[in-house]
Amino acid sequence: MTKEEVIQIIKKNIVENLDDISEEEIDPKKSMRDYGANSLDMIEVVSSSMREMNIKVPRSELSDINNIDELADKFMEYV
Amino acid sequence: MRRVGIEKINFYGTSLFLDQRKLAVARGKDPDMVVNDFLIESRSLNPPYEDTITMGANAAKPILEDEDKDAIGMLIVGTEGSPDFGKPISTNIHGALGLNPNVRNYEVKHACYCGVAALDTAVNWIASGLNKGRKALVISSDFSRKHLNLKEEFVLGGAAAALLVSEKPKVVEYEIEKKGTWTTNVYDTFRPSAIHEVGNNEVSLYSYLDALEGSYTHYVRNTGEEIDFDNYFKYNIYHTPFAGMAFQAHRTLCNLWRRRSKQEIKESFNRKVYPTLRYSRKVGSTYGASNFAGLCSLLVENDDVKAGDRVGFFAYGSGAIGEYYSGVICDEAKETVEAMHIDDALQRRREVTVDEYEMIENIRESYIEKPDVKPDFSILNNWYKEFYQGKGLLVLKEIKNFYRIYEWS
Repeated sequence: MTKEEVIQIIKKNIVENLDDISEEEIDPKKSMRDYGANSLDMIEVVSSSMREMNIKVPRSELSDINNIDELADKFMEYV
Repeated sequence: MRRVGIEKINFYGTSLFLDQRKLAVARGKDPDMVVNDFLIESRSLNPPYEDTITMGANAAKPILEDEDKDAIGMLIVGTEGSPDFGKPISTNIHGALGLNPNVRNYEVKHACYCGVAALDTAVNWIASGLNKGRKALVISSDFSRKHLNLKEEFVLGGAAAALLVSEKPKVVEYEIEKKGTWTTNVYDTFRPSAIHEVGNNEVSLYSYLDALEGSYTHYVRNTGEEIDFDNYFKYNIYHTPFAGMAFQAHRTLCNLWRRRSKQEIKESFNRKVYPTLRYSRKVGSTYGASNFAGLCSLLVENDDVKAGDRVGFFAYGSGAIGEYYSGVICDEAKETVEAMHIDDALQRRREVTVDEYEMIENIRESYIEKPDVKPDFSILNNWYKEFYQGKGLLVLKEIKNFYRIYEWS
């Protein structure tokens, strides 16, 4: 799986879990908070993306990630 | 296997509360987010003459009749807020309640899992038959430390629950062979001194969800059944560091069974989980009493609850452990809980302003680790006189050369 594909999965799950946002609007250099996600929404995006990729990153490794791009990098370590 | 469960239960939310909307405004935050996303309306607050000992005793007193005091053979108190590193608060509570002397008592600690750890030990003792007909009193009692102006200030609170566990359950009967457990070593939230309560919110949320998935998966494996999550449990009670966390927890288990939209999850949440949040919305963080607050909430809030309904419970303790277990509602559950008049007691609490809250937290902190303290009974226009005097509630009268002296008001 390429990093672009990982980002695409994250974007899809952002759209599913946040209100009123389309994939085209999402810039990976930004944080989900910039799109109105609260901490619980972000956790759900992470969980559902991991489920879709069939990977399991210990969630404790995810707490100091700052944006979507960094999240994709972390996922790539486990793909 | 013999029947084991809760015969009587009570929940105590202290005597003061702070409106979280007003705290949000004072701290420059959006009050709608605090109330709508995190589902926190108010938090409970202790006056300087209450602590984990008084809260535990005040939760337990209404459920005990004289015959219960004689029938109790075990008293376990779960807390992460003991005022002593050696002497367990179960001894103070045993003395205050006037239980018979042939009682095994101790205090257990595992952050917010402490209450269910205490319950589990009592349940196993009774299931083993070694109780020889005697009952167990299980108490969970805790409250937050001072966090003025910190970002976690909105998810604080305190409460106590007391349960009489016996072979004659009237509230819930546990399915003692169905259980899942999951443990890891993490620093998410912890209390490294008598004053500090520290940690990382995100680490704690992630760790909670890892423990939820891990323990639920283990539960399913242990039952040996194909469990349809939507229909197997009539209601779901989740540990609530704040009530809104229950939504995220439910979303996690819903999606684990079958992926679905946020809207569909909301519908399931409103039906199966929201009725269990009545009291956590009013007291804030319920710590080790969380699962018991959820059970009392469900039975008071929801008129549709019927005998035989299965409830799934998730307990979490930072550090960390997750435990998933289940129980079945008993015939007399609703009337047994309603007899405690928990709503009335919470309605009698006095609202404090943000300034009063800060004053109380500073007073409380100034007492910690002091050998001699005479708690200030005069604060809030002598609130003691109105809420406590003559009402038979336990209060901390004095600390004298480290000896803690309690009395019934």
